[in-house]
Amino acid sequence: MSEILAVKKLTKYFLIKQPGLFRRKAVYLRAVDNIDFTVEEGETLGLVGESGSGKSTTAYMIVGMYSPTSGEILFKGMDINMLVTKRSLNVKKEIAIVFQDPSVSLNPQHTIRQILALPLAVHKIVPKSQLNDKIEELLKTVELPAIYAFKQPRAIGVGEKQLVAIARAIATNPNLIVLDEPTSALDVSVQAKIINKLLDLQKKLNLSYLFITHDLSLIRNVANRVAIMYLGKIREIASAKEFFENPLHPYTQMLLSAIPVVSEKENAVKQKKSLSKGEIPSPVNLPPGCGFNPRCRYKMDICLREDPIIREVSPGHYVRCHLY
Amino acid sequence: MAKNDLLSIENLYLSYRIYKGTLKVLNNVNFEVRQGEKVGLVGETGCGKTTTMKAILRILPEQAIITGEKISFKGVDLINAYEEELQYIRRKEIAMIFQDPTSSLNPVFTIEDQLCDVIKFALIGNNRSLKKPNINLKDIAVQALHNASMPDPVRILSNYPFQLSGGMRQRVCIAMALATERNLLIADEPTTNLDVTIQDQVLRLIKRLVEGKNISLILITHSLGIVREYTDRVYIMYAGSMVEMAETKELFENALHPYTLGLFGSVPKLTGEGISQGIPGSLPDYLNPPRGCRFAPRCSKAMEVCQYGVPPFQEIVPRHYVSCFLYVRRQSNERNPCCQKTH
Repeated sequence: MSEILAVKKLTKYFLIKQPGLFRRKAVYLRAVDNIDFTVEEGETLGLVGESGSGKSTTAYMIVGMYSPTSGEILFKGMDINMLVTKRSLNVKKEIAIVFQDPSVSLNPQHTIRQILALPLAVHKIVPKSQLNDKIEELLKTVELPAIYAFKQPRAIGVGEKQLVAIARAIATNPNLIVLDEPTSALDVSVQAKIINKLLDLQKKLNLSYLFITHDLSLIRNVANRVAIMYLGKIREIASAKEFFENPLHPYTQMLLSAIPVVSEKENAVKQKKSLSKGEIPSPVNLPPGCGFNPRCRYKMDICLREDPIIREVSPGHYVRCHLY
Repeated sequence: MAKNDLLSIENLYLSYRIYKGTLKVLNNVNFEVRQGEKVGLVGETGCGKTTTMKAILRILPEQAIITGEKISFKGVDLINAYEEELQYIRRKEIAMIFQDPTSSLNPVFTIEDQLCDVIKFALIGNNRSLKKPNINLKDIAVQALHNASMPDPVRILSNYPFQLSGGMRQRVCIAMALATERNLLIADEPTTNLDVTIQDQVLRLIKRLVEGKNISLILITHSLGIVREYTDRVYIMYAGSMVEMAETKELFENALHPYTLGLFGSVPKLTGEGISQGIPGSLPDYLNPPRGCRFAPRCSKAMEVCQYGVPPFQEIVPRHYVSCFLYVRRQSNERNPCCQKTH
């Protein structure tokens, strides 16, 4: 397996207030702060975290919707640290994204044929004469009837809309798909169908996924490796099995113990109750030292002074905490 | 109706008249809550959970037509009640927490204005002829926020909703609902928009408050995990009817209805054993719902009888009710000859 995506020291600050007459320094929101991770070919990297932790900002930088403040994004060794408008067509073709809410991410005035035809035409995937066949084939891949090509998004169910969004993402034969909470707008019975379809496609087309979600039970079933973000920083990365069976960071332990589960069997593997307290602080006024210290139950003096660095505790298991 | 029933709904039908025809939303809903009990109501989006609750409080839009047999709360028939009676029940008896705390708080008033308004309405009603009350509303408001584990309640009172985080806003809504004495709290997906750690905190808060005051709770959610941890008894709802009801433990060990089983299979598990194929199809169109069982078009075990007969909501195992022909057959083979042809 080789790396398909490598992110190095990626940082994104949003300017909130300009320096002015009375303010010497500008005020920044630190959405993503110095993160490193890689996605291997054919694997699923789960990126989890609460809202406001910087998951989506990371995704948007990878697909080029935001330009990073600093850091590198390497795609197959190429530097793609730039906005999507400046990227070459070849790179754009290789990276696709599926957004959270398909009701908003599909143009309501276009038919599904138009929605699917656009990426095919832009990247000249097929000659014009074969366009209809290709669209039919795409719909077939996601198990939608061919007649849907002539419908508009409002005429179909929300789960089917997400399938169209997935069909659009795979239209250009990409290598990497960024899935930004693809099922959080859906019911569980529909979610199951979408997830199975995604896992199917991954095997068939050898896709790599960057799977962003806040649902830990879901990530247990889809990801090979899991990275957890809190206040713009990655706190822990490990293989999915290791992450759920032997979580090390106190934040991971707190999150895992808060999940409501449906059976005794699951309760047995769940973390012991460590009562969750507090809320995620604002990324504008970060607490000094480790960002998690106001909510941490193992808080030590050093946590208030110094931000821990990320260390490899066991092979492939990285933690950013003073405890280790 | 049993003696200790607080709320009971029998054979409730509800439809909306719209331009295209009649949306037959609720179809034979049976539901009851006893004093001090925590009841869960689970179902997917659009299955009528919130509509049922709105029917109890009678806060439905004008186009809604209720043709039910009975909604009774403490013996008062809410279907034919006068507006004054309903107002009294909304003031003193039933409180509701809505799904999205952002849209259920008014953005242009401070928390104090909104909280005191609710307390005033609960204590003295809308009657303007009464003199200014002799009670300190602000004290009650502070106490209510304090009960809802709100840090620094006095400062919060002067804040506007946008200055609070999602979890804090939901705490304000809980404080609002439980500021005065109540008998029933309806929590309509109180944690859907919140993160998992905040969800944990909010649900524990609700549980602590209702148990402390012996209030009955109806917890509406689409998460089976939440129901398992926080309720005594569960109703599973699909397309406007109750399909299964049992005590929580019984339901999670021995679910019977194909829909419930499908739901259980679709939930991603922490043990990481993969996800089943889900339930094919989608909710039926309420304009033209299926003639028989409303789940039949999506059911893998559907029989001929399911297409034209509506299954009764029957007690299959003691205190475990299911609405499905699969289980009716066992009891009354002779009376339902149509069932024998199938499979």
